[in-house]
Amino acid sequence: MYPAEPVTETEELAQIEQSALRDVSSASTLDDLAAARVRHTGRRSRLAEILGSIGSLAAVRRGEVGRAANLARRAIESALDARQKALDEEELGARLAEDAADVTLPGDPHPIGALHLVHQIRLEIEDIFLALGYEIADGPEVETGYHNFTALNMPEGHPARSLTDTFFVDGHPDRALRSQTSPVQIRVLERRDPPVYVIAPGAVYRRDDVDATHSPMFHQLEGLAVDRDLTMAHLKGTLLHLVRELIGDHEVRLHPDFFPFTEPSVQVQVRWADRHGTARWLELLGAGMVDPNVLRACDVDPERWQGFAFGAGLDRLAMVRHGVPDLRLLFESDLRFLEQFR
Amino acid sequence: MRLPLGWLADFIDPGLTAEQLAERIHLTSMPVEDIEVIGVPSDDGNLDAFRVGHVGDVAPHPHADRLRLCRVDVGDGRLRQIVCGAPNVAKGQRVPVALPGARLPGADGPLKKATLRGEESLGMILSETELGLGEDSAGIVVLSGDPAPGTPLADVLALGETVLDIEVTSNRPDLTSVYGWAREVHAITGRDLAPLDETEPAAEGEGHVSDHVSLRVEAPDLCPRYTARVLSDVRVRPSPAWLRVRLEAAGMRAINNVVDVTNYVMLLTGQPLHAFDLDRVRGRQIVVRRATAGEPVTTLDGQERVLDDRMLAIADAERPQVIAGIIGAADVEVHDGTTRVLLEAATFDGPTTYETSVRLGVRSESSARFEKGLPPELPARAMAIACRMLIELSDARLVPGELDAAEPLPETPTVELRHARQAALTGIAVDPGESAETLRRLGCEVEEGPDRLRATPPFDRRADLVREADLIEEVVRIHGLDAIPEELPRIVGRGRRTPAQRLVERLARRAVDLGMSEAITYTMVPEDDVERLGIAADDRRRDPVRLVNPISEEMAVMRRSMLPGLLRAAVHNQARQRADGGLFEVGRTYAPRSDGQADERRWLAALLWGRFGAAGWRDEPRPVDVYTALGVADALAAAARVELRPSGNDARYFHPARQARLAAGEGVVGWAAEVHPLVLREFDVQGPAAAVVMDLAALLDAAPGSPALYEDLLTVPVARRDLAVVIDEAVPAIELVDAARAAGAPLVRDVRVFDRYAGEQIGESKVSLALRLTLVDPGRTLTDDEIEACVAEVVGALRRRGGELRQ
Repeated sequence: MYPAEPVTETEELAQIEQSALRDVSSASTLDDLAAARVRHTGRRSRLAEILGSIGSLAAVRRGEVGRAANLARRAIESALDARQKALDEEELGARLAEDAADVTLPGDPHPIGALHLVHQIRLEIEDIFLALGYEIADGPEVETGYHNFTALNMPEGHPARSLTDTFFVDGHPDRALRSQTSPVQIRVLERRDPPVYVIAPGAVYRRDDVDATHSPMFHQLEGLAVDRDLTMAHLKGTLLHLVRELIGDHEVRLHPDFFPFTEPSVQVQVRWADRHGTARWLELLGAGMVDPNVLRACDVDPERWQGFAFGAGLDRLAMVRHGVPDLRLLFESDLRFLEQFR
Repeated sequence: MRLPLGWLADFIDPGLTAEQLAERIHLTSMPVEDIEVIGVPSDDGNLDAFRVGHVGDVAPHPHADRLRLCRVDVGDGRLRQIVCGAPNVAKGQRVPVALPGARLPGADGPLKKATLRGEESLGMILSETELGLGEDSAGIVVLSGDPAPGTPLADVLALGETVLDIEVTSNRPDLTSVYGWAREVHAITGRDLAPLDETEPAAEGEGHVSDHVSLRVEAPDLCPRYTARVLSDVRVRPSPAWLRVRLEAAGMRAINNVVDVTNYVMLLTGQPLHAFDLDRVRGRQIVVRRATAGEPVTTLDGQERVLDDRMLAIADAERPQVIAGIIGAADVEVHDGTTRVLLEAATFDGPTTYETSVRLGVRSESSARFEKGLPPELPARAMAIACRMLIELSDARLVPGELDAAEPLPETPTVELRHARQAALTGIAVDPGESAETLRRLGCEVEEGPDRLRATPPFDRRADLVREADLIEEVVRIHGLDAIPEELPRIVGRGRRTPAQRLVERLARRAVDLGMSEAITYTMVPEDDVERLGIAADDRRRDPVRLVNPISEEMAVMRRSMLPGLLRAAVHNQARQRADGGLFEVGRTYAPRSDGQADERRWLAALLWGRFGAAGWRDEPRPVDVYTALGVADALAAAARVELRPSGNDARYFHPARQARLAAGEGVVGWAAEVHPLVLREFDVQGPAAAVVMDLAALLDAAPGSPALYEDLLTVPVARRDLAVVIDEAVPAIELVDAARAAGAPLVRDVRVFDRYAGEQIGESKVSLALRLTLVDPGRTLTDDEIEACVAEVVGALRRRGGELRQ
């Protein structure tokens, strides 16, 4: 039905705009919206018709109708664009929601290995001494009787030189697997003149059967400092520094001990509580002032040079610090063990 | 050493509680491992309830065959009835009695007045076990010396004994004796020390020792002193309670009065003694000689032991009767009927005693002392005390004279201590007077000078107080190590790892980053390891550094290869549900040298097995193969800034057609391969398994010595061209890569194989390799013409190698 009275273009544009905005806001899908776009702004829409007819209007009305038509078109297009953006986002949102991941599932794994616990402890101790200015020295594991014993003040006949304590090389009665890292002291002092500040980590061998606390092969870290005026105070300061850096502030005490290659000799004990809170004194390090006989054996004059040496069992330190109950675990290469210390 | 403090108190009162004394000893002398309290609880006046009782009468129990009614006087003016079940209780004995209210060792509550089978018992007559003092529970303790009834038992027996268990280092044989400890405690505390009574007893026996026995020492090198005496009219019987209790407290079992005296004197002086039943010594002669190989001895413990010619024996005319310093034979053992005793106090060589005791697997209180090395003066001291005790406790008579075969006694040199030197070595200046006093208390004769002192140690410290440093140690430890200040040296040093050390650490870290864990395996391995690797019998790698005294066949030789240890590690893990894994080890192999030492070469070896990598829920790694190994090798070498050139290789333990030798520069730095299936089977490894072995010294040689220099490959465009080349499959890929590199140099910076295809379209025995060329000229943009010309050169070179370009 026709309206009762003819409407002006301006009035019609207002109606078109209202109707278009209604359609736009009610479009719930991108297809609805595309249809609304065609219906209200397409070439065959009433709006396009009016815009196309402006040229044929009377000149006095052209301006007014043209302005109104453009305003309507912009309003409609802006509504269309806004709605388009909203629907786009809605649709993306729906798509993403469908692509939900269970973030509690594990991520793609990377293989992660572990340095051996003994290696880790060794690196830590090395770094502590490197920071003090020490160097790291090394020596052979198949040693001469001279380096492993004689020069360390253990002459022929010393119990450590017996077949029951030390491994010897078949066919070479004077060659043994080093029973301590101390022969590196001798090798270093033979090679160079003091002052010398070195540490020497490595494998050592003693003729013990394998059990929870013994192994025929284990690891030591030797330290040697020889200079003009080193005293037991320097020895004590160095050892306590090491202990604090390695395991933190614990009660520490020294007591006398005996080693053939140091005099005086001491043992460092640390008050250590295990995981159950039971505290006891643990022997961690043997040490002492380098025996004058050792210096003389290396052609170093004990009246001009003096110093200290110390030795720590790396395996034992690792066991104490990490609560490892059985030495054998360190040599079994069991991944379930090794991977606990990544 | 178990040190009973009640025994120590014979010589010194330390003026300290047991705990205080233990701590002082620990911090100045030797580690105290335990403080053990044995015997009766001594708190709350409990000891008052233990008294000496006099058994006045013994009557049978009317209702029990095994019990008896004793009427006992405990000094309170009456005879109390005590029911006793011990077979040895008898009228007239002095016995230990616990009165009602006494707490016995290990008992829940105090002893109560009791009625036993209808008869009242007002206390208890005690056995050693009930007193907590010993192992004898067969009968009650019978006290010797007629103490008055009612005497506190603690005055007669060491009722509540505290024992320090002390670890004694090998340089201090003097501290394996109670008197040695008395002297040490004297030095530590400064309290008065009573002298040891070394008075010789009167020799009232018949004749002369040489009438009874003769002595010949054939091995004076192993026995620098041998002394012997004879006692006659010996009555062998149980020792008195006080002696038994002391022995038990010190950790030894009481046997009979003669054996107990030898042990007691050993514990007191540190000098082991041995008693023979002289009437069983054949030929009445003692010969100290090396054993003949194969000579058997049945020792006191009933075991037959076979000697060898490195062992020292104390023999009679026919056979060894004592393994010198270790254990005696059952044959000449003192027994209940023994009446003539030959008492030996000798000095045996320490190392020989030690070796023998380890070889025979017998360790005794005696051998533990001899192996530390005892002074030849000590036998005389022990002999005097032991003879006195035997006369007293066994009614023996000492036969005049002594057999004594002695090498010349060693001199005891005087040692100088400069006070300035003491301060310079220890960082703390001990007062000269204190130094002198400490050394005197330790038994040295000291002569004081203005800036130094001169000390002559006692004979039992002769072996370990020989240098100035030794005296300084004594002075400073007694002064207290806690008094030493703490200082750090001022060091001017490199404080850095060497390039070789840095390289090893970088490689290990890289291996971990690649997902492998580090193993440490024993370097001592079975001798057949190399054979099981398939290495030929005439290969020099079959020749190991062999141990003369391995602990087992499994650890008989030093390893020549890193592989077996890792293969065993893989087996260990595969048996524990680790079907996939990767391990590496940084370690040495040992090749024998003519001088007996070894060429110790350092390696990083890795073994990967199964599907090495990380398996997630949506992806899983592929099974390892030679390419896995090659990739690991490349990544390791990159940590040394080394590029590897693989080529074919023919190791017997690797897959014959899937192994590579890895070169860098002039040298071989490693190998990457699949492990030979036969080797896997031999070691029980479930395949597949791939190995990488890097020679660390060679890798260090190949690593560039200078730092990497920046090249501008960033601000200029890089051109990429991909070429597909069809070539005979027998031609190694690296030949094409090399040809392309050579022809394209210098503009072609990199040639990479990014695909390989074989199939019908290519033709039989052919492969198609896809090469990606990267062309760049630092600092300059290449023109298309330059690029095309360069690629044409490359194509030409590939064609000359027999390659055809595929479109």
